[in-house]
Amino acid sequence: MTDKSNLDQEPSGNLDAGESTAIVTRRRALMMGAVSASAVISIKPALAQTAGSVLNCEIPVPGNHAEGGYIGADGRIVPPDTPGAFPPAGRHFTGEEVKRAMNGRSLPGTSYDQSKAYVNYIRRLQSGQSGFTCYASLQMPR
Amino acid sequence: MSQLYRAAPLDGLILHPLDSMTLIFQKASGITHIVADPVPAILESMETESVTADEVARRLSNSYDLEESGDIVDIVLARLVELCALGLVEQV
Repeated sequence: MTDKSNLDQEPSGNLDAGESTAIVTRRRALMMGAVSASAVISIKPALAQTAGSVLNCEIPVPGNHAEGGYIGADGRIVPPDTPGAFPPAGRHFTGEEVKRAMNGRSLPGTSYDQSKAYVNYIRRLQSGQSGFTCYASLQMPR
Repeated sequence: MSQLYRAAPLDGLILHPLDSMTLIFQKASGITHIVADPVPAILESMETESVTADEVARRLSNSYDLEESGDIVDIVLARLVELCALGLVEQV
């Protein structure tokens, strides 16, 4: 039933009549669905479910796990006074501010490049780090 | 029409096939997506390249017997847009 034969087989499945390869190529059927039929359900982290938390939750830059570190342009934590890196923001940004920054505006009180570095830092947040759940809630569709 | 799409890097995801469904855990956001066909096949066909919806449709029809209820490219495009909103695919 699942014989895989000629890898070169054309999609139309036309076997060359001249050849005696009496193998019927069976490929897996793929349900394409319809344009309007969504194929995804997302399970969100429990703490990030309320709409209010998206607006009001806060993301420290950097979080406790990287206290005292500077933020490199790519968002990585680097030693203090690293050339090209930015000092800690010294404040928390709200989910709403970060959401706007991810759409191209700058975080309040920051220069363009500084804001980009901070947003890169936020994008790198992993589960368990301060601000992660807030950031995760910003990524929710709709 | 020639918009290019690229699938999210596999090392940022944990994929777990469940018979007719596939679970995709996104490490960066902690969100788990339950996806149905044709999403896993679309992601697989994209590999690590930047591809158009037409190219994805062509790859799928080369690899599978498609059971469609509409234009394949339109369906692929709709799924790519959906996956972009989730961060599983990005526009290049």
